Amino acid sequence: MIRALALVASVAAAMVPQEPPTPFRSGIEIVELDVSVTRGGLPVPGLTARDFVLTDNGIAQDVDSVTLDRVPLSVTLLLDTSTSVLGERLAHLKQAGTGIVDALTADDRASLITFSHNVEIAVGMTADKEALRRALAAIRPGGSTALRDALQFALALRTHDRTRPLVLIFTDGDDTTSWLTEEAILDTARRCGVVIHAIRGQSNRFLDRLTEMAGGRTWSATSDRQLRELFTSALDEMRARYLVTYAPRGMARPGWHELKVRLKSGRADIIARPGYFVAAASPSGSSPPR
Amino acid sequence: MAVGVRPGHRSALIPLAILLLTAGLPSSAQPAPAAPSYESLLDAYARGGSAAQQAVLELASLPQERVNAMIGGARSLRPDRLRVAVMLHTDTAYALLLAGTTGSGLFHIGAARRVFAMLKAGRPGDGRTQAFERRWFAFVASLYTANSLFDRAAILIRDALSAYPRDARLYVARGALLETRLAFTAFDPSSPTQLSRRERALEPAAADYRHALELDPHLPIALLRLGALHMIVRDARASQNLEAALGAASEPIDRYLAYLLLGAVAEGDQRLDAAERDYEAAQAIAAACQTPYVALARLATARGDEARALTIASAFANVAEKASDPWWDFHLGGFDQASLNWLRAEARGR
Repeated sequence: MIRALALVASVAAAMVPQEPPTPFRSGIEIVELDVSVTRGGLPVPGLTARDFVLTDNGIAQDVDSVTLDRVPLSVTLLLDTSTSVLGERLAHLKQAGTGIVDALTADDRASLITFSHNVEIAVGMTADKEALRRALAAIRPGGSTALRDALQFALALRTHDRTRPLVLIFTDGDDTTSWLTEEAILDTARRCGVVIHAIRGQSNRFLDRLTEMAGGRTWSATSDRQLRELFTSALDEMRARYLVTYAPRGMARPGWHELKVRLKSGRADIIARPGYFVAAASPSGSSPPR
Repeated sequence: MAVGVRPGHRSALIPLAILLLTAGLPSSAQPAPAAPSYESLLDAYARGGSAAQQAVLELASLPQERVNAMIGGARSLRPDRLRVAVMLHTDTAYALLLAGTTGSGLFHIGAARRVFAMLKAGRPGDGRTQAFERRWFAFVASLYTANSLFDRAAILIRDALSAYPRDARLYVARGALLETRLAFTAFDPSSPTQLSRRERALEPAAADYRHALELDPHLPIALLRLGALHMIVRDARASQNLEAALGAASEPIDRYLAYLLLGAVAEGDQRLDAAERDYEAAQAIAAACQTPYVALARLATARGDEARALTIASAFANVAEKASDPWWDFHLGGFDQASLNWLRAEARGR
């Protein structure tokens, strides 16, 4: 019923990434982990590989390198455009999205996926900021909500290059229309190893579980006017993360690998994904560990 | 071969609803424009296509007093013209509800019922009129349910079942209403207690579907809904119900849903090759619909085949004109497009 409204109103500007995809690696040689280290809400600067203690399935690992804000981001904006964003909220949402685009560096890239019940790959991963701004301006809301299905596409379409992938979700309602269950999409997130941040308009237990599983955070918007600030905060939080790299020792076996990260000394709040998934041999090779 | 579920299959009235939404509706205080006659609106609606859309738009724009006066003069119309009038008001209600103008939509449902009373007067026991009314009840119940007008749907179904206690579709509508109501009730699927409570709450819906199948053992929508419900509660009869639905289905939409749900059952049983075949069969029926891509991409991810997941998601991104997915309607209350199509055809005599 209501979902048909958006079908007609939607602009099918579907595009896929135009660059040839990076080949999938066939083994786990290196694991990269985005780690947020804060104290009193502020990023802790100046950390090196020697400052981190990391275990992979309980086995201590040698951290090879730690970098901060040097690797470009590939940001997927996943925006709820269901009927609930009609009106002023939509204007603020567009401004918030534009704010993200403005904050991208020359090396960063972004894509835009919108969803009501209908998922639209509005702009594939690109450095073309103008294309992103145009697509944001063209958003027309309407329909019910299929966040989980949209997220499956967002994660399947993630980049497999040397950028740091981030999925940034905005939603203000419960998922009413998705085919996929919560457990299914949580498993997808677990396997893909992409940091997922979410900005939500109301309490959402599923988003809390999802972002925790994906090593991200949720922000609650108490008013629409906050959206731009919160979007920018989410991007800043990602930029302030350390990229911790290590070559796993004795860790080749398929399945879930639990990661634990802490500082060798000093107290800090650390957010990182709780593990990564190594797929068994598959027709296309193993899943890369990030 | 892709058949049946194509872009735009859903309703030709959608653009009209958008027009209503963006243009706003006239209030009864506005001066009445030169209004078309009821007869001319019925003629236009009976022609179908853009003429019917224009008739709905014009009727939706008229003040309610004017519409009441038109209906008052309809008593002398022949039965075939009254059937056209019923569906003109019903489609107008559909467009108005779609546009979010619930009060005006409900007014036209009331108008349709008043015309029905004229149609039935003097023709007690007329089989064609009864078949028309039974199908109309089933459709409007689904329209209410899909618009979250749950109490109205419940009252309508109760009234309809008192008149037609052996109508299988009405039991399906009642079961779908219960399922939809529950879907809008928050619960935590990771809590065994809440899950068990939810499953018990679904039992009356299953009973309604079973009763519908006692009345009509080959009703595809009853088999689909019972199969889907059995899948949710992990009842082994799900596959049997869905295979039966596939066998009974003549409409591509029903076959599409049967394949999707069979895929989900197979996936739940870890029969991943079978799941993939079923999802691909659904995709072959409806290549422009979203859900088979979602299901196949997820299946590839679960198998660790990220390259295939990317290929499937990219293929979805490249679908130029996406179709409204019957899964959405099925999931959100089972909007009864089949009955709407039947009613329109019956009203237009073809």
